[in-house]
Amino acid sequence: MAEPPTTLEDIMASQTPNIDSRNPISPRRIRRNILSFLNPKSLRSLRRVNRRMDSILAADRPRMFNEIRFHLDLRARTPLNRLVYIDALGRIGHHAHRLVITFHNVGPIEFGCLHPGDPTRKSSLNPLPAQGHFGPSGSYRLVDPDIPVMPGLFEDLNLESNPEGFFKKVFDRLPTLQALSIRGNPSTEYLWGRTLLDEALVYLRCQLEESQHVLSGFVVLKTLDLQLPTPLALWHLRSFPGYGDGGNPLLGREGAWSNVRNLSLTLPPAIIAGSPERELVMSKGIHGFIAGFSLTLSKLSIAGGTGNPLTYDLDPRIGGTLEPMRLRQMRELRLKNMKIDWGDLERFLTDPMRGYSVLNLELWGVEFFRSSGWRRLYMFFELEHPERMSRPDMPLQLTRKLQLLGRPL
Amino acid sequence: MSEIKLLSSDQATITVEKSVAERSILIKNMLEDVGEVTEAIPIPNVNENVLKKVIEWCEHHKGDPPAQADDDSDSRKKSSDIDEWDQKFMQVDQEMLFEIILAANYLDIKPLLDVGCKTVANMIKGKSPEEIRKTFNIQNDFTPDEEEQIRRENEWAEESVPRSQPLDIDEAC
Repeated sequence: MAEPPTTLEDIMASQTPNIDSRNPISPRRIRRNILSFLNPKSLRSLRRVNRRMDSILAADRPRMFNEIRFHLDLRARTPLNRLVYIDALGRIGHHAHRLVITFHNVGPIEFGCLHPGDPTRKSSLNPLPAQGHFGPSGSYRLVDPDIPVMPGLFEDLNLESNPEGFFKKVFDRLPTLQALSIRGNPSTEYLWGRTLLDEALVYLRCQLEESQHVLSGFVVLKTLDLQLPTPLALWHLRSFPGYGDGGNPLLGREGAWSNVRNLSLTLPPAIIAGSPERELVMSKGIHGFIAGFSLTLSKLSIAGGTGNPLTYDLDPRIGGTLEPMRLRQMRELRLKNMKIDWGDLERFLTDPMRGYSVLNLELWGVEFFRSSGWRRLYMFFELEHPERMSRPDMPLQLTRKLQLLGRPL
Repeated sequence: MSEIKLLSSDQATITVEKSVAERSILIKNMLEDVGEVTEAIPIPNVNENVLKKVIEWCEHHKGDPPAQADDDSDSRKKSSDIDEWDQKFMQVDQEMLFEIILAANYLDIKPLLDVGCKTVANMIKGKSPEEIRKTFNIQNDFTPDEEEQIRRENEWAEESVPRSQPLDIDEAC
């Protein structure tokens, strides 16, 4: 009889069938069992051990690369379009369902001149998307001249000077993408104005729309998770027709966002804008962004001190200035770390004119939770109109009622 | 209390309580097929030392509820939930550990198989490829190009910021 395998390699590679046919477990299942207890990171380390391990782990590629992560340092000096780097994504990208892009070193920029002939529009405080954004590159100038900007980075992103822009290459290699996360880590505190992140987001959004799988309708994202250092950044991710200067005019198509079901926003308070007027502009921008998903959104999660639909209606400076939000498919609303007046909240949820449960008839629950673990869930249910009880021939009317979890009203 | 005898691959006979031996689905099925047996049941794939260790585990766990069929739920996939006694039980050299896993597989003792596989998984978790090689005495036979190719693929999935790569002019588009 052959010696039994007594090393990790042997036991992982064993193809030996069982001697006893009644035993349903084959040694190959030992390997599967061990691998099932390993997370994707450990699997990736294991495949780098030697050729045999790499070969054994071929079947586990989908789990290893289900989530692709890309870190972009906006002040790095390394160009992005390296062939071997992109080729590597080409080999694994078809496994990826989720892409997480994290922008590092987000900071303010100052434009040399937004509009030639109009020297008044030259300030970094201008929050609006720049016309002619895709003009000749190299016009960026930092507020702090000591901080180097990587030469070539924005040329790599620019579709005009480089038809195969970096983000387009990435999205072209992700044919099964379902979820996109975008995160930004600011290097400095700033209140208002355009940043390197704003620039990068415009490129990202345009190139997503230009990518072959989105153009062909093959990829339609279902989940969008945004953790951005300023609410203004949202403006660069979609156009807002009929919303004045608030959207980016370059973003004409909405194909990539047309089937987003789950939207998660983590935004800082709009109060960082520094003045009530700017705060209102930011809040309107957030409101418009969410409203853009009105036909498809079924789950909305918002974290942070602003950007939540409740704030718009409850804040006396904002309430009433915007159309009540109607999200026709929305079933769940989750709000994290919200400051809220509970008395106002119940009125807001059930108000017959602007109440959330009235405007959003699919909504079954609103959940509030905090980082500390505190949690409160409001659930809605429908009752027949009381008059129908006494007049059965009356048309059916449903009244939405609110129930506080654990404390029926 | 009825007892049965097991005959290891190296011809050692071990007497064990029937209910303990029946932690093995293989033995349980055999006993159901043949009824009462007086002769030792041959266990040709397991030597005496390993068989004694397996029986030790079965005696400790004889009161446990029977193992469920394959369960792919997330809770089963945690390698950290090994109880203290099992952790000490598995503090053996690698050869013995793999022999126990093979024996548990052959004898169809799923909870023991899981504990063994979790122990191996824990020996891999959190380690770099080089540390895994050292732990399991594995030779690296990758060429530098192959190693670099895999490293670049993995880089797309790493959570931390990758090290800044020096620019290779030939690679640039």
